[in-house]
Amino acid sequence: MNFLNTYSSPAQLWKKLRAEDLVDGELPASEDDNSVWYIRAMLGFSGWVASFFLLGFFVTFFSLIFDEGDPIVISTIGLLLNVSAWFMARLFTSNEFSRQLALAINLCGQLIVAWGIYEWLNDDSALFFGTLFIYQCFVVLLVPQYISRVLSTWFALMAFFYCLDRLGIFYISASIVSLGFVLVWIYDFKWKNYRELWEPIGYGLAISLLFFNSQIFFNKGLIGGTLEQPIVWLLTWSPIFSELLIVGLIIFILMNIVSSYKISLNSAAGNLVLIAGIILLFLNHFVSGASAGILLLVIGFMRQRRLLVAAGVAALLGFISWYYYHLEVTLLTKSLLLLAFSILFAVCLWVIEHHSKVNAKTKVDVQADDKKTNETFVEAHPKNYKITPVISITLGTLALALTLINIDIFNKETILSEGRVVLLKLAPVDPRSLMQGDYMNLRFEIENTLIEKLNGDKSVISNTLDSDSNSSDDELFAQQVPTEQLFFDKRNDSGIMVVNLDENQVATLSLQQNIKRLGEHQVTMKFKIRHRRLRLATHAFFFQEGTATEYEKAEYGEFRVTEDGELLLNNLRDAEFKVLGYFRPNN
Amino acid sequence: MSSNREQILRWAEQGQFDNPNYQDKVSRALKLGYAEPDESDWLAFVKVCLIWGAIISFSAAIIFFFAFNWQDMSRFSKFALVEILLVSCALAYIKFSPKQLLNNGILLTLSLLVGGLLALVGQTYQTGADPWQLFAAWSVVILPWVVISRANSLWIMWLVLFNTALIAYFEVSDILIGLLLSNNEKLWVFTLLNTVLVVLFEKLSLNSFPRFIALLNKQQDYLAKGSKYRYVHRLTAVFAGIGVTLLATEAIFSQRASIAGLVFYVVWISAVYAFYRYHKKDLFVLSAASISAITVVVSGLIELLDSWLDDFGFLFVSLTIIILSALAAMHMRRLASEFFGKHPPTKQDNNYQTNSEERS
Repeated sequence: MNFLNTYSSPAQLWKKLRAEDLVDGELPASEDDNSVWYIRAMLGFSGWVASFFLLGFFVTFFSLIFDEGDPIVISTIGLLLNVSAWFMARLFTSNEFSRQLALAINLCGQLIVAWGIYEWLNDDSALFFGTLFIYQCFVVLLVPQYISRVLSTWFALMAFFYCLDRLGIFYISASIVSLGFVLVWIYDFKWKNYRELWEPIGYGLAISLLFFNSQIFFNKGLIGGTLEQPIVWLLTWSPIFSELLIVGLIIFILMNIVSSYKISLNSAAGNLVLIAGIILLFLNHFVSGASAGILLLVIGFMRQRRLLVAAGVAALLGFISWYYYHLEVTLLTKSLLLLAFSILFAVCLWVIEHHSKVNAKTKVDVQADDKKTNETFVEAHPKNYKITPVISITLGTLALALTLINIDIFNKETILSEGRVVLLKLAPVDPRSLMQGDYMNLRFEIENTLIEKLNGDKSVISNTLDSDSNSSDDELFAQQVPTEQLFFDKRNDSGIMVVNLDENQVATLSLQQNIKRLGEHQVTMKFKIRHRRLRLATHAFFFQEGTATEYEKAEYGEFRVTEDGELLLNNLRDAEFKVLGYFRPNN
Repeated sequence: MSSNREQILRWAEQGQFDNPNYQDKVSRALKLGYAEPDESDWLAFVKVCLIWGAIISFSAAIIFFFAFNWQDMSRFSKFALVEILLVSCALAYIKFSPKQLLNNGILLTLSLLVGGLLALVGQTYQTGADPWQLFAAWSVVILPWVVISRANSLWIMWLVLFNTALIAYFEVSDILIGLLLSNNEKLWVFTLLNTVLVVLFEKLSLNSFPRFIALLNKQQDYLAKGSKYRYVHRLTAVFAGIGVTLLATEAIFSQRASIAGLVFYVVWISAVYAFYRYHKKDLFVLSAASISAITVVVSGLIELLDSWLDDFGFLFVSLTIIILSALAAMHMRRLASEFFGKHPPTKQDNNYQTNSEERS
């Protein structure tokens, strides 16, 4: 990305512009703008923390006032703080200390005003957040302080989001924020002397976009059924309205590109724009959560802001992990959709490549132009594939990885086919155990007996009794007097137990824990202590998404156990010992 | 250090393009100053987006598919499917190996799919293996690919995997709070390992990396084809910095933790300052380090004030933070003008010249 990394020296840039008569005179003195974003981030973070301590000061110092809770007095204190921040920001602009003090005071003032409004309304209703939003908009507009504006914009939009959320139409907030974001940045060349206002607002909008995306995606409703004054038509129309707004934005951006580059829609470039538009609209329709990331990415690129591009990449990567947990459609559908997108992208890439190759053939003297695109995408000439060291490392690693994994698979298969069947009774599974419909938490009855034995019986062989235990939980096991029975290794928090099998292969903990002399009906099983719980192989049973009901009748877990106590969970069975589902047996 | 566009907009703000026809002047200046992407920039941008889009959505599609755990598909066909995909990726790698970008994309796909395969084995055999084992195995397997790719994207993924494995190994679920509550040793391990990585990465980009990788790639500079991308170094430094800051604050607040944490912190932060101030000149790390230093100083102050932490105690702490951060910012700004103020003709400037020549 050459373009994004172009940093010319001001002198050079100035010279170039002067040569074209766009500017005249000497290079203007730079107005001390060494505010790289991370210095600002550092200041913003510190100021924010300082504002909380400042709040602590005001609340304890004026504790009488705050205890009484008179909304007008409290809000007045907050507003006074905003006003003093305004004074400081206006009068002492060049002084770092006063700027930072103004930031902290301004943020603290906002917290106190929010407190005041809360005291006034006595709830966190839509009205509360709405009032807060309007107030914060004024703070953003009036207090001329860069970092404070970025943060206040973000907080204002949070209030806006919660306000709409209380009304049940939070969907809209994301698209309105997107709208604001695009408008602010796309007209950046019109900021002129309002740059100090619009640039921080633009960054505040970007931060909100980054965060809203996840919130909206996750929350089908923060609301939890406490909708006040639901505006019914808005409620039903808000998702559609929101999508249309984004569609409009995408078209707007593309039109902007078309007009500023004077592209004719019939040309190759014009076709490209049309295709891009169609893809973006598809993306927006099927995976609307991705639109924020795409907007950040595209606008960041157009306006040469690497920070926005980075935020866009982060948003898109974040989106994929949120998408995984998103429950509206099954993972299979999502998988197919993603595969379709992947193919679509690849085809587009191929078309573009092909197209530019044809162009390159027809034109002879475009080498200079091509060199640039080839930096990222070097043409491969047909050749004999030479095995370089790099390639052999790649292939070697893959071969090794596959070998090891396949050996592991083979071992597991051996356990399954040769291991002895042992059934363990399931303890009642707590009702919240079904998570995401793709696995089920298990608990076995034998765990309780085993724990009792470990704790009560004092029959634990603890072969390493060094007392580096520091959690009270470990002590429970460590302090046992070694007698001769249950084998437990403290260092690895793991042990081996002996179980008796009845005629149905159902296991119970044996009274005789001698692993050296096993009876005909006895089997050894390995166990571990993890997260203060006993674990036999696994606590989770994975199954196909959406088939949870099949396993509700589960009474037993079927294990396959080898002679040395290795075990794998193989199936779940019901009270009649019938295997549930058809995950395992035939496949 | 600002982009051409930021620079031009700042001039616009100063009124340099004022009348007549401001708008026309600004848009011409933006085009001329390479502050607006031209057609070939757009093409390159679209291509990069398409490649990464295709690769990421493909890998995600495969992982989602196996997470669905389709019961009608036998487990052996599932294994076969992933393994065939892995092998095809490797073949594609051989075919496209001269294309740098595609190359990294394929290596990333390989790395993600191997993770998918490992997870699939765990899922199929209901092994209930500790999560750290999955992440640890995963990060070990892909390490050779990451090393030869020399790509930021793969290194960042590896770093995240590595630290996830580490934290999962400590059996803590929440990074910050979990580390604080867990015992001190784990924090030490976390900090030291990440510090070692920082040292290693800095060493690598100092051209003294073992010769064999350099020979493999026929390049001197190992990480990221030049020193302008420092994402990996910075991310690792942030990880290590979080660890060491927690060590110090724990030493301050907790009675049980040893003072060694604080001593180590002082040594660590001084070394970081000296290195990034005089040697490597990385303002990002220095800014992050100043956040850390302010945190530690303020923690010490809070601990000292203790019962005095009433109204004026709060005010005092607040003012301390304000003063310290302002001082830090002033220092950073001074360093900024020292680091990038003089603007020696850089690589980017040369780029800019060639680009503008192409255009004319």
